Order: sequence, then C-alpha cells, then structure tokens
Amino acid sequence: MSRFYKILIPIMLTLIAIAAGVQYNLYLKHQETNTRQGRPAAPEFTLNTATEQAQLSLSQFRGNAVVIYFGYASCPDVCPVDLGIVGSMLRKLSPEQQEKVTALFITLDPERDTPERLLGFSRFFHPKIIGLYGSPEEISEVARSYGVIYEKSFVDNDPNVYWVSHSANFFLINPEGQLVAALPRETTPEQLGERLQALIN
Amino acid sequence: MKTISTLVFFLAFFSANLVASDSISIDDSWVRAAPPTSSNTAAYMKISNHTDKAITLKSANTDAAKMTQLHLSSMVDGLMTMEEQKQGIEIPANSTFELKPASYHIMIMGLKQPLPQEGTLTFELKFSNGHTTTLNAPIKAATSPAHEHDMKEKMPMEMNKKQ
Repeated sequence: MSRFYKILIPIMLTLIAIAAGVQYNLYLKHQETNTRQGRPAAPEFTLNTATEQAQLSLSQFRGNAVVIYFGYASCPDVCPVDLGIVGSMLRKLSPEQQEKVTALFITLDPERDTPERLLGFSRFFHPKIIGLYGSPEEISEVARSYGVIYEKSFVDNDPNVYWVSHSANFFLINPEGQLVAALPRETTPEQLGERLQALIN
Repeated sequence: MKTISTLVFFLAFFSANLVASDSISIDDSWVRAAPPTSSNTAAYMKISNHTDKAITLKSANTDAAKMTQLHLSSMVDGLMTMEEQKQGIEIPANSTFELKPASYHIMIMGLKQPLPQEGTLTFELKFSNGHTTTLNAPIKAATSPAHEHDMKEKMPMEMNKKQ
C-alpha cells in the first residue's frame, strides 16, 4: 500500500468516528429535549425565607437544579433523617456544583414554625438548606399543588401538642423549571446527588 | 496463674452484669443531636432479650424532658406517621430488637434545656418482667443516616463470625 493511503485511511476513519459521535450526541440532545418538553412546569410559589425574612419565588432558581422537601421543625424522627440525606448530599458536592443546586425545606406546620425555629432546624443539617414558611393558607396551597398530603395528629387531645403526618418525598426540579421527579425517602445521599448532578451537567 | 484467671473470670462476669442483667441487655444506644431551637428528639438502641419469653419495654423516662413516649414511625397510605405504642415495645424471646430511625424509637418531647451536641442523656427503662435499667445514651449527630444504618446492620454479622 502506498504511503499516501497509510496516512489517509486512519484520517478518514477518525473523521467518520467524529461525525458519528456528533450525530449520536445530536440525537441524544434531541431526545432529551423531546422528553423535557413533555414535563410539567414545577408549580410556582412565593414564600418567606427563614434566613432573611424576605420573599422568595421558585422561579428565581431557574438555571439551578432544585430539591424540595416538605416537613416540620418539631419532627423528631423522620424529617431529621430526610434532611440529613439532603445535607449529606450537599456535603458531597464540589463548591461549583453546590452553586448550581438549591435545597428548599418547606414547613407543613406554619402555626408553630417561627422563622427562628425553621432557620435553626434547616441550618442544622446544612447551611445551604433554605427554610420556607407562609400563612397556613399559603402553605396549604403550595402543598396541594405538589400533591403533598399532611394532617395533624393530636397527643392526648391537647390542641397545642401534635405531630404532623406528611408525605415524604424529594421533589426534583431541573434548571428549566420543570418537575422531573418525586423520589422516595429511601433515596440515599449518593443517589440524590447523582440525580441532581445529572440535571446540572 | 489460676488465681489470676479466676479473678479475670469473675471481673468479666461481674462487669458484664453491671451493663446487662440476666434478662435484658442494651447496646449501641444513642440520642439524636438536635439544633438548639428544637425541643424534641429521639433515642435509639438495640435491646436483647436473653430469656425464653417475650419481654415488653413499658417505658423509657428521662429527667431532661417533660415527656417521653414509645413511638413507631411508619408509612401509612403514603403518609409518614408516628404512633404511640401504648402497649409498649415487645422484644421477642432470645432475640435482639432494634429501635432505629424512621421505625420504633423513644420520643423525647419538650426538652427542658437545649440538647448539648455531645454528652449523654440518662434514661430509666422499665420492662414487663419487672426489670429496670438505667441507661446513659450518648448524644450523636447522624451525619449520614443511610450509611450509619448500613454499618449498624453489618456489625453484628461480623461479630458473629469472630465467635
């Protein structure tokens, strides 16, 4: 074989491989866009932050991957485990990734969760977890829009002593503001981290 | 030599008895560290029943809180719910029962003071066979609940292998 072909064949093969790769990537992107177009927009809400006592809307985090957990600050057993999963996941992210991930904790106990209690509770698990509260009506509306069910169970019929039974999911929202998953509370910090990283990459 | 081994035997025997009575022993107890703003938390442990009959944990009291209750967290119709176990928590005969997060636990309500991030909380546990134990459970932050749980599951198996 002439020297010309010895050089030409590898070059041609490389070019074909690159072209195929580009085509395949375009195909994947196209598929991804197609599925994403079919996804519902995450229900928009505006609530108060425990941190700055300012109002905050979900749409402000467009461009970030968002994880939302609904719970309450006097929750002794389940919410600490679940927020612990969120905190542990955040600690595993690089500082750059942390910038692109937002973690929200929305109280289902607006009567008892003062900004101080909510801030103390959410910060305990990770300083980046933002505690959100609102009036009982506002909270009820946000919970309803996400399909979150919650109800008080009173201890010894005392109106001031109660637990809140509640749905426990990690809602994931992509940078385009679409609701992409409601993960069960059995999700590990690693799995949660992988899902969020896939959304921001 | 014989005297020493006898002494060691008795020391081992009695020190084991200090922690465990004949019927019940408690291992790996811990209290969930809570933020200073929280007045509730929970305690967990492994309770072993060394008898041929089921024994029920009837109560677990601490002076550090206004109230304690035996609770079960479970998923009911898609809701995470806690329910007081008024009848107590039964430890089946010759077995170890684990009180663990999002399952059976000791509910601590109305802490009189913010819980320190380390140290211990003292409980008095009462059982149906009349046995009473004082327990000093360390306060711990569960940084990675899933991992911690896995480790706890594996440990007894490894210990069994050595025996």
